[in-house]
Amino acid sequence: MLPIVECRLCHHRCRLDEGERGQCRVRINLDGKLYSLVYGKPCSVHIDPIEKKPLYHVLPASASFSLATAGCNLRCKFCQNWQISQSPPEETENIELPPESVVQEALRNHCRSIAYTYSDPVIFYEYMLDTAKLAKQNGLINIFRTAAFIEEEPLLELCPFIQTASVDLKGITEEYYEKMCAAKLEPVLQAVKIMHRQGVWVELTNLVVPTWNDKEKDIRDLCLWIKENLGPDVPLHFSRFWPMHQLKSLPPTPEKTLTRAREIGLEEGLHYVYVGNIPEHEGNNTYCPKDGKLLIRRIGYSILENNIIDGQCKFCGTHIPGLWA
Amino acid sequence: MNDRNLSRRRLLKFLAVFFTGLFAIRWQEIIRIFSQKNTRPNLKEAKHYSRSDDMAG
Ligand code: SF4
Ligand SMILES: [Zn+2]
Repeated sequence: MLPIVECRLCHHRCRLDEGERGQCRVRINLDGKLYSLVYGKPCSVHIDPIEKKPLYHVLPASASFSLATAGCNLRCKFCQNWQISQSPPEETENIELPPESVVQEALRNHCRSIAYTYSDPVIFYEYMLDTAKLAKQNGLINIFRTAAFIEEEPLLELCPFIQTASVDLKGITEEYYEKMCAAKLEPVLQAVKIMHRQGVWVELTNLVVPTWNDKEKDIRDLCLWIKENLGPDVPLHFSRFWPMHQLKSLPPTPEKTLTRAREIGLEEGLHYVYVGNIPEHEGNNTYCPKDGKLLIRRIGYSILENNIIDGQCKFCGTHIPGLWA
Repeated sequence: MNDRNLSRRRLLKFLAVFFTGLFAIRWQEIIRIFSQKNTRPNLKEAKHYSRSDDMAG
């Protein structure tokens, strides 16, 4: 009898019989070995402004070579990229792009970073890891854009090669993770702490979904967790929900909810709290936590003013954490 | 003063749209790569898994 394999990449720990695939749809047991079906086969490749990740404290106004394969280990009801994330690789249009070509194309297009993004890069782990190693050798920054539902061992292997992580912290209760994403909260919190401890620059995004995770208590608890476990300097982005996928009947998040969420974050002592997906909201800008002066003015993904010099506030010299050069 | 603020805002908005447009143009370049679409999976042995015949008991 051919052996069963157990995947230990994410906390689903899929146990797979011969020929069976994991929940992510891109890992398969063949002849008692586990294979990735998407190595070097992205289905989405774009050059994005880094602000779109969103990363507001990393190389402002730079271009990021961004890619994803089919598949995902989560099942978020609001997924914006469900056409690729909820499909097996046979149902997406893929291209051959081995790690060397990713790095070459990124350099040729004057990108400063490579972002593993759109679906969840955990499920194309081997492809991401090999690309990230090469990219780092070539002076590029690696961006892990993820829900961080990953086991400790593979994460620790990855950390030395990724300089920044943009993590979706989708909510702050187990119930929310279970019902909305078919995942678990606790492993995500652990993974975020590990990355932070390993020196990866982390920014967090919370998508505020009306009636699901928009209560003041949820938002306050989330901010408190960040402050207590990561400190006040980790940026938090509150992002506007737009009706999508299985949640088309909900309205978009009202602007006042996001404004209030940002106020709560600041009240709880976080230094950098942003509002996303609402152009011209003051929460798009970076302010100095000491003197309150405007440091980076943003509209959409564009930078209109930057008063951070050598990682410091131009006006009072306060150190502003991030990767600025 | 208000007029000046208004035209400054208009200029900022124009610049924002302009630079967003620039990015849109740049990624056209990448379309070139899409000339070789295919859906046949690549097989690469995965990391981080165990087999029932390696497990104790
Ligand atoms: S990465 Fe895929 S196969 Fe592995 S445990 Fe997670 S969902 Fe299952
Ligand atoms: Zn200052």
